[in-house]
Amino acid sequence: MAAILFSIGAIGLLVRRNVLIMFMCIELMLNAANLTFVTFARMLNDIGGQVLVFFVLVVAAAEVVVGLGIVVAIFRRRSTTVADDMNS
Amino acid sequence: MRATSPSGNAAYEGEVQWSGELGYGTRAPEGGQSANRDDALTGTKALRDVLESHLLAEDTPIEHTGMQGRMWRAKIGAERNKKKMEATRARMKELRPPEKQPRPKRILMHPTLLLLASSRPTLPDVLVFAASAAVILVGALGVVTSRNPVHAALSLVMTLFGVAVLFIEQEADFLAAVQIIVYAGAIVVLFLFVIMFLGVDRREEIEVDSLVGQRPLAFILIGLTLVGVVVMAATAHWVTGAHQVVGPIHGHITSSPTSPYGEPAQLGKQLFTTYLFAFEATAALLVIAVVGAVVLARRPPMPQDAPPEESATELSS
Repeated sequence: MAAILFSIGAIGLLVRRNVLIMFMCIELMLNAANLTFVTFARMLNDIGGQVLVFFVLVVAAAEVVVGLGIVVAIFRRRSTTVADDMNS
Repeated sequence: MRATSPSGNAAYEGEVQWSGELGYGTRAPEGGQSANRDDALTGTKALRDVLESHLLAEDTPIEHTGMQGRMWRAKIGAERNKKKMEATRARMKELRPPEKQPRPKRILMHPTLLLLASSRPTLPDVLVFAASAAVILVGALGVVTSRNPVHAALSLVMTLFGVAVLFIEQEADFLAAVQIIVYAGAIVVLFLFVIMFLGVDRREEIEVDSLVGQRPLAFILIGLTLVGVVVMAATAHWVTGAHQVVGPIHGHITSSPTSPYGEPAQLGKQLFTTYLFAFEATAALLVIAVVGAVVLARRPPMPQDAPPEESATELSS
């Protein structure tokens, strides 16, 4: 299940060109990784997996914040969000 | 009066001729007088049986040539082969490696689908997994294929809710709640803010590839990766990691079993003892992210030339 979710996110990341949707695909992949961690935490009866999920969640939130800030800054300059047009 | 044995005349084969005193003629032979060896009256056994008993006896000298030898070789060879085959079979059975544990055949007993370590997945578990898997897949496909970014964000919310349901099914209740609050409640809202702010709710072309053959190449590569991961999952020995390396999910902090720790408490305990450094580093990361976002989104106080470079230099210093 997590592998399917990860691959859907990866395909979307490679195919879509709008950076915002690419960010959402990155979030899909991170969620797939979280799902894998939680499943293994339960299989091994270990809390370490859930701790890692917690940290991945926090890091994903920080990454989204910074990434969207970058997108906003770029968009203000170029008024486009298509990734192909962002070669400077 | 003497009964003579037949002298070879074919007409009197097997019959005995009387002498002249009792009259000429023939009569049936008495016991012991006929040319046939299997006369039951005299107890004479057939040559075949005699040979057999001779051949099977261990102490009689056995000829190795002729008919007798052939029969002996056939019989003894068959017997020896039988014994040899049985001996070989017994040796092979001893030497064969011990049988592996029979793998569970039912798909529901596959290690990756086992939901509880000590019991089999019940019907509600399967139903919940199927329903949330459907929700997740629909949401993920919606994110990837929708033209409007707002639609994609809403599909992302749907996916996150499905993933949260799966978290709850995997006994990670606290993480499910945190995911709803942080991901669906903050990150997606941030996405929508940025979408509305930038006004990019225009339609995007998804039929045109930027590189030649980008889409088929993406599908092929990711498909291969997915197949590889699934094959590895199906054929590998799962659960090779040590159990409870960090700590059990539902642990006991004191010796009394009546006060078990719940999962959030155990999570917090490990977070503040084992992973304390990572916790502090994450806090620093969040501060840096907030400062960076403020700097990146800052409007220049005056319309100077190249304001993004100013923010970039500030960020790199």
